[in-house]
Amino acid sequence: MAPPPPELMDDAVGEILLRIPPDDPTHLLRASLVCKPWRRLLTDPAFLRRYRAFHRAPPVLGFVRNQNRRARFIPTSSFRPPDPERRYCQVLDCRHGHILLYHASGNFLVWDPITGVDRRVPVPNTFESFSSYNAVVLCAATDCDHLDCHGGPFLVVLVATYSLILGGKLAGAWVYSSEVGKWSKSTTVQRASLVLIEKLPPVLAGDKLYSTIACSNAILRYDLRNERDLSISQIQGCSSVLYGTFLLIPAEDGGLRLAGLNNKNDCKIDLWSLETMDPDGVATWTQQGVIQLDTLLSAADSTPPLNLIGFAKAPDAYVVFVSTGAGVFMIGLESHKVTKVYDKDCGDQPIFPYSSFFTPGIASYSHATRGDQDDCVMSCWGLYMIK
Amino acid sequence: MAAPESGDGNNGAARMVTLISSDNTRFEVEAAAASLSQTLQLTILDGGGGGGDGIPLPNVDSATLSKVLEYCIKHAPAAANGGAPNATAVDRAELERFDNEFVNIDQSVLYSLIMAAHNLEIEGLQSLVAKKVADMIKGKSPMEIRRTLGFPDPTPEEQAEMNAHMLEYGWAYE
Repeated sequence: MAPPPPELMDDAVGEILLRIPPDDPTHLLRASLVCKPWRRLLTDPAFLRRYRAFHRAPPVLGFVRNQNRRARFIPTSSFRPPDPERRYCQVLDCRHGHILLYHASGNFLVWDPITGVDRRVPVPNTFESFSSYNAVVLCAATDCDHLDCHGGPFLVVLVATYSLILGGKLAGAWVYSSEVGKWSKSTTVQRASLVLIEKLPPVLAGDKLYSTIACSNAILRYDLRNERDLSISQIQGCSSVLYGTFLLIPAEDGGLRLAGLNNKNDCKIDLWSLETMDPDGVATWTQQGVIQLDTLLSAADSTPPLNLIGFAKAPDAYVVFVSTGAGVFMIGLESHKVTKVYDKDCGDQPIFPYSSFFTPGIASYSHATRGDQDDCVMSCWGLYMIK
Repeated sequence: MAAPESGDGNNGAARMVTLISSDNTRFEVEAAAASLSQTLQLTILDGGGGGGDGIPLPNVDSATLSKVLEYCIKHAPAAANGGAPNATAVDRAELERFDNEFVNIDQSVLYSLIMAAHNLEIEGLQSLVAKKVADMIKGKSPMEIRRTLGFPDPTPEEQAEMNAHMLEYGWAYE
């Protein structure tokens, strides 16, 4: 067959490469080696912006779980991080291409598994007096579409309860900015009873951070735009919190949902949508739908115990992760599509899915930054010291 | 909302235009179908292509043009409905079936179609053929992609660059 005329390459190659799906990162990497013009295009920031906008949400490349005093990256795609684990670390959150870890030396680490770079965040001064906490990491770049944030400024938002001073009856929120290099002053809220924040995957819906409170079926909410707005609301009218496991999940419209897994009687996920939330009052819910797991999973795959252990945003809708005796399954909340992503039972331990585009541009970016940024060198050095 | 183009004093009957391929074959087609091409749309809006004039397309041969028009005629009714928000699932499924079969063609015809779709700026067709080629190359190694698309073998310099990259991202080439 005769080679295609050169005009084809000039005009149409962008349209073709734009349509290579992002779920398997090897496709674009391989395409970038076909010839120089292709590589130029696939590393061009303008093309990559278009590519991300075309595919809308980054694919889930893997998830991070805590195992034997280390945080391990478990791939669910062809992507393999340069170093898949961080020792003496506990994973807290994955967002905007970053993984937030707590290191036993008393620091947070912000790990980018694609570039292999860790950035260290010291804990706030009051950390020693916390009885419980949860935290999220998010990109702080103002003009960012948050589809491919690597190496840029970030925030760590921490919600915690005090142990010593007031018997765990005081909750607070702190924000760390990598640009300022400092934690903000705390916002606190007094409670009548003991409060313990659970280390379940925290939810960022709209500008609000939500985390569940252990044993009391309550939700802590922190408004990132209004730093004084920290409240705790009791969950009401939602039977899912009375049995089995439940997770908070963002809604497509910026609201909040709750997914509960009842494996006692009839193996199903109940979905709830937040109706109202009174600060320091009650949060009421309406049932949104049911996902019957016994019809989606085979008898072999639904070996008990079943646990709901994580969620992620997929291009079309959110997905949840269910751990069974047979492994971990990713289930589309809208499509009900089931994909087995891991062949080990994770029990009721939460997992933290990691989503990112992996384009040839990111790959070359990682080499440009690995030795260039002072704070990266510092943090890598710090990591080796504590290993 | 753009008003549908209609021929003056020719109410009821669809307005026809004539397109002339590079090898001088004349194709008479409804203006609505030809207007899927952004390039042709302007000429047609100006009243061109009617009567004995015809619009010459020096970059598109008759075999390709006939294929392009097959696509345009099939998609024109849906396009006239503004992307067919009211289309039934059956209509959509039928178009999808048509599209799938439409690109199930010889590679040389596919390339001619890509060129024509770009020259004539037919968005839906551009997207359809690009998707087809993307499906053809995904999962292939760089060398396989080159062969699939009929590229010449890489120069030693290109080969060295490929090898270095493959060594670095071994996981991508397992």
